[in-house]
Amino acid sequence: MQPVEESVLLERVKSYDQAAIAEVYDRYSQRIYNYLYHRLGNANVAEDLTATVFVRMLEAIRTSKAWRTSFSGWLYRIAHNLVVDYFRSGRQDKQVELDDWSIESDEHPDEEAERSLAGQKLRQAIGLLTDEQSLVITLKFLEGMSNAEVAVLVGKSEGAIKSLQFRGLAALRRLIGEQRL
Amino acid sequence: MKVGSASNNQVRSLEDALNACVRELSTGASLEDCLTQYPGYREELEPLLSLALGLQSLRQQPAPATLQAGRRRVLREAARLGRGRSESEPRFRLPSWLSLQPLMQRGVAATVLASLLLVIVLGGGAAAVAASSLPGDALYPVKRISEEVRLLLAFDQQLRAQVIQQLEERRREEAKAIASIRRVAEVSFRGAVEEVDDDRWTIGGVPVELSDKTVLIGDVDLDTEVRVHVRSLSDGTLLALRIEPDAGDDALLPTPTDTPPPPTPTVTLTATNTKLPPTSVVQQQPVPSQTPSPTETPLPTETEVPTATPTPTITLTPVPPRPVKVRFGGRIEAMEPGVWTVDGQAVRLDSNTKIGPQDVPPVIGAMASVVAVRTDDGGLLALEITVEPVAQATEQPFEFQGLVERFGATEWVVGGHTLIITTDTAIENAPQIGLLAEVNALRRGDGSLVAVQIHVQLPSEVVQFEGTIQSLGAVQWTVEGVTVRLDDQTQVVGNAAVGSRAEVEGLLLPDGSVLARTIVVQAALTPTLTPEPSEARSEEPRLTPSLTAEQATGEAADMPDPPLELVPRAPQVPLPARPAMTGGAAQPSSGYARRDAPQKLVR
Repeated sequence: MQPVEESVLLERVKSYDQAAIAEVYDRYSQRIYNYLYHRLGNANVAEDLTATVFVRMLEAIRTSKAWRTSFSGWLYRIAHNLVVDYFRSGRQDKQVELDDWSIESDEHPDEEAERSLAGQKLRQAIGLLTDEQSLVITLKFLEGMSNAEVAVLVGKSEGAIKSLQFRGLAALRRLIGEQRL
Repeated sequence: MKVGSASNNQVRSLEDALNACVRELSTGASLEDCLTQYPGYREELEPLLSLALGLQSLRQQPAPATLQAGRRRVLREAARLGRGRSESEPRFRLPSWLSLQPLMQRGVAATVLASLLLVIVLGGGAAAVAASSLPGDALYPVKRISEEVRLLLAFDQQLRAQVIQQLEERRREEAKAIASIRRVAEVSFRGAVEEVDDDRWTIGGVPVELSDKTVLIGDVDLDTEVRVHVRSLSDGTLLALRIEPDAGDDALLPTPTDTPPPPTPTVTLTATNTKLPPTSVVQQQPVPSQTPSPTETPLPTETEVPTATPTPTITLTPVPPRPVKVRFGGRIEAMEPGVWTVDGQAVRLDSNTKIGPQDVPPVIGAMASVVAVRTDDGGLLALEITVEPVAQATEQPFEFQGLVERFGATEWVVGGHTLIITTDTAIENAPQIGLLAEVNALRRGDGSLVAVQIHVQLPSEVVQFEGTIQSLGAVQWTVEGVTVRLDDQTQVVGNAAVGSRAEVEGLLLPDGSVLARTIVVQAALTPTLTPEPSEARSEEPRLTPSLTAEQATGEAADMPDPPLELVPRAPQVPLPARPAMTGGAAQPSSGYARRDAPQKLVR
């Protein structure tokens, strides 16, 4: 069976077609989860916020604030905003350690802790970038996507992605200082 | 004066070099290999590429996620919001693993075989370890999958009911277990409300705590069977996020407005012929339906309730749907006539809506708790809104770092936060858009932030580049795609015009823009239009002929190359030639007037 054309699918989503919404969730939930996981470093919170992204999508349809250009880019922006809200709320202070560290590591504990700290600092600094910069930096470096892949997902040209990459890295470097990672 | 090593090149080329190096690093090239290819950019590239490598070292396969629970939540929300729309469209799609009817159509045998294969592949070892796993464990998804397989293989109604009962019990045990080991995770389980002590409830033998964020749906009393979604906190508390009446496994029951599927023995659970232990909780909300609704298999509970009967009661009489009550709280964000927005949710008000207390006038920014009902269109109608006095809210310290986005005498925006500046605000160093600032503020009861201290971090890295002026503004230009900011220390030499070449020397800001210290402008580009001299003479010189809204707000730097828009000028006064301008030839100026430099300057 051929996959449903996305534009057709999204029109059905706007009509609250359950099958279309399920299809969209199945297509995008893993990507959004991956993005949230990399931004938050916590699988449980990332799972929760993944569903919240799609609930926000449904609410936006009701209030006619839905996407106008790139649907996936719009979803990512919702996810970014949720991450920002999450950090602002201070809820992360109640969470346990980031759960993506020290898995089968051969590093010395001190080095590992130092690396973990640097990683944590980097994640927080990414949150201080503009939403477009943080999106591009996350997708490119934490998820390993190419410029072309990121461009499709966020609905921009590859040239714009290249520019965002440069400015994002420059800003990130400023934010974390001159220290070596 | 040449300061940066990239003095004769453009930042755009640095972007290209960075992009090429990032691509090569991802294919295994070493940092040194990349830097060797671009000796002119070595100094600029090295820290950025080191950072890129640091970011890449964080790359890991995400922990496995069980997104099915989220899928159910989204579809439930969609069903609620979409209620009232065309009835001809399918209303609800069961989660694939529970949707037995499609499975029957696709062939149960194939599904069961696939499931058995899964069990075999997972094998005894992994499955055994997974069986004792808890939410947050790597093998927990395996446990859930094996449970789904068990449920799929339970063809017999009685056996299926027992499996469901065991799984529900397992969820409750998991909730208690993650609380006891103080793991932060989320889980949902089902049980009867056994005890209510203010914000401490006991549900199915599991103590949970409610907060003002807890969403309580419907009428919940003692003995009501509910599904509760909890988050365990690091102090061992189980914080209830959402509590709603649940007459059984909702995935197995059609929603009230669903067209009931043809009766299928595999999806209809009848409690009358089950030999499960008697339950103490029998009062359930009947599911309204055109046909007799399937009812749940009751669960045993440890609490003895005097009203318990040995067999469950099955109510088959359809009743109209009961209004669903919703309680939530948050900040009042908007107050339109008849519609308020509280904590991001729009809620309608009518003449029956009670707003109180009377001595507390509701204002935007105040905290409020709302009791509302869901209306047929899926919206919320407020029954009661309790407003918290703003004055009672205490000021909370709030410290953060962010880029200066806007600044003025009374208000700044830093890192997306709007700050109120008072005469007591201590500001260290001169602000500039794009600079990093450390902020020490107080969050007031109405949510506003009052800046106590702002330390603006001054940039130190000097860069120099040359390119075409693409837009001009009083405080911001775009030169060769780079946002160039000007302040009262910026010196502009020459007559600036869109299309002219300019050499920029300045400080690299954290957002990638450049705070210009010196801009040396060459001649304008050759015109593409020849205006009527008389018209042109009457035209006032425009300083920002091609400034778009986005460019004006500083967004231009992140956009693809904007097209140049040249504004013709009548009096043709040749620009003074600037000899020895590095990297750019002087452009003919015929057809364009000299443009007065827009600002502070000059020599």
